[in-house]
Amino acid sequence: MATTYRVGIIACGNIAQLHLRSYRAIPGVEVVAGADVSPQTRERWQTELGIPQMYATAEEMLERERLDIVSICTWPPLRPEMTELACVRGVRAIVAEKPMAVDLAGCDRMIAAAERAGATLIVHHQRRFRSRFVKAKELIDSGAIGRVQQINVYNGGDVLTSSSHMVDVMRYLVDDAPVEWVIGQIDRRDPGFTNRPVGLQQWEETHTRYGHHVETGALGLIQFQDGARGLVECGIVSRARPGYSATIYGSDGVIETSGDRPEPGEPHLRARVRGESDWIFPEAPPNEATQAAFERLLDVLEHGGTHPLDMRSARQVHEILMAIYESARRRARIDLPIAVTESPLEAMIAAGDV
Amino acid sequence: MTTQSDVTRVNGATGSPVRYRVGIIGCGAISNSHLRGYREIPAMDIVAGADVSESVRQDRQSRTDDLGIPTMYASAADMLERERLDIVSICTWPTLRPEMTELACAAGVRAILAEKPMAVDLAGCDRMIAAAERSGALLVVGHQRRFRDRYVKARELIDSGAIGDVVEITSYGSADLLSSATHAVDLIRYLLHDDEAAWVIGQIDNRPQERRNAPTGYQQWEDTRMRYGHHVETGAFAMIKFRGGVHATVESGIIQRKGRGGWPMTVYGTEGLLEVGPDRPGDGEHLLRARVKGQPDWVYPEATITAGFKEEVEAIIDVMEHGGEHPLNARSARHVHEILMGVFESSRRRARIDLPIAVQNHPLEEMVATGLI
Repeated sequence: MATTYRVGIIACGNIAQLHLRSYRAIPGVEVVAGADVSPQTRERWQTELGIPQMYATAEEMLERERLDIVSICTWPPLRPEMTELACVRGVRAIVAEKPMAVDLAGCDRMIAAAERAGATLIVHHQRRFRSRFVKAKELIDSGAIGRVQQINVYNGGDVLTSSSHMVDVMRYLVDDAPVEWVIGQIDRRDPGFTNRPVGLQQWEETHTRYGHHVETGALGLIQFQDGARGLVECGIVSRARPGYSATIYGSDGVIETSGDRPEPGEPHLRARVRGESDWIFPEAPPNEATQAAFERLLDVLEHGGTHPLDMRSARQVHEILMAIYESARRRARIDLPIAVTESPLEAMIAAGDV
Repeated sequence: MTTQSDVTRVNGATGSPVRYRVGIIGCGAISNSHLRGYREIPAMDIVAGADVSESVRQDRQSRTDDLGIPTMYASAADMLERERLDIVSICTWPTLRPEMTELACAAGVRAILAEKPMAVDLAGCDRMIAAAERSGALLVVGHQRRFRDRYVKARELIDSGAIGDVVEITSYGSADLLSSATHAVDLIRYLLHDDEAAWVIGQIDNRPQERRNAPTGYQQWEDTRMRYGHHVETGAFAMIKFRGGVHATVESGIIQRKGRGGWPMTVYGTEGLLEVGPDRPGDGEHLLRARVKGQPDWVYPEATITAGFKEEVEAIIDVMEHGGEHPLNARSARHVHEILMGVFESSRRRARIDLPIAVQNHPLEEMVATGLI
């Protein structure tokens, strides 16, 4: 008889529905409770989505439910505190949404709490499990494009919310190679776009998103220790490519990936590889990446090992993102590890520097 | 645009061969390339030079090889006044180029070949352009690399459609933006048929120089963080978005990846890619190679090592004799300079810089002066 995992979800907004759906697709996993500050959300999750218990506070849920796994789907400023609460309550695993936190101080609080409690903490950079990137990695590992020289990633959002995914994907494609340095720049003009879904509306009023400041565009160049480079294009600096798509340049060829939702007939991947006189189009139909990440988590809980989205890997992602801001602040190439634990973007805004 | 230098030109009015009196202002290391280049063209008479250094003047005057100059002056003004020059090369440091250009224009020279970078700041570029426009002189800036065979062949290959539409260019600017990467930016523009930049975003680094004593100029760097009379950064990274849609990156100094000296470039197209090799390809490197449609492996189009200077001067003669625009005309060079200034301005303002930019001063000089870096 398989173990049943009792799961609770802290904050039941949009992204929490992806967590719920993915947990429910895995046998032996049961979402038994949720916590949200909004009475309407609690009502809806209980009646429409059939969650047995909904709580107004995460504390109460954690106290009463003896949870094995907790998803933290709050805005990032709350994640360190929620992680500490969950760890104190003895949960075995925490899935924190991305970005891991707003700043490295937050990441470090989360890591410290998880280590004290012996909990497994992963960060939901689920795109690493997306079939198009898994396929791209297979192609790279087969030598089809030679040695990876540069990986470009594109998204129209902001560094913390969106590029966090793509920096993680980049790290995946270079076997999580350490980073030597980062150089970058940001732009903070008023956004020209209006009213895409979640989050952006508040942007227009406050220049914040999900509880933290965001920039309008960013560029980052990342030097990995194995020699490969990553180019991050974000917001108004990103070229017209589908969000969350990538280009991988090798010494002998190129791989291009689609975005999350390719148009009908649009290839998931195309590649110029050695020995082929034209593009090839490997199949990699969209898959349930979150479910795959959760299944891997259960595997780690049952058999040990390190999850690919482990907290230390996520902290590395966050350090790279912070280094883009720090490069803008200090007008310099930032060699890692960086000393700063605050968000340089928040610091620049507070100081009136941008 | 090319002319045959071995064809003797004839003055239509007098029937005598057309010859050009050439003078050189600033007779340091780079002027050697000018001297050798002019001497490859029979119509050129190098008649004079000007340099503030007495030892340089004596050396040039006493030499009997290609690098000798018959008459040397201590001041450019004297030389310009006495020599009735047709063509003047301005090989001073960039800080002096606007003034020298104004002097040469006032003296009525027909063409000026200014070394790169055009000037230190856009105010300097604009002074030079205004002087040339007033006097009707042809002003050309020495981004001669665009005449080198491998870039010419690369553009032909691009124009043939072999790699589809150009999407991205990755380029390497060598040492600092003004002295070296200015070539890379001009080469990108060459490959894109002088498309103009829509915006620039970038960052610099100003840490003390790690490398020691490459040839000319670096020695002063270590003491003063200046080179050729202006401040320089230790490294830079820039992205340039061109109006036609191409994104180009420039890496230089400590940001440039290893082994990419000598102005190589990679051009990515919708159907393939091409690599332009460095000035002197090492083992396993090529002047030009490409992955093109219909070929299962790299192809290696023929290209030869050329200097580009002779072609640059031949184009000057061609414009003087037949009109038209020189590929390295002053307005094109100003746009290159504007892109470079945009990188520094991006660092200063922490922003993407949309062109045209308003700033006339060099943002690096201002950042250094105000203690921002």
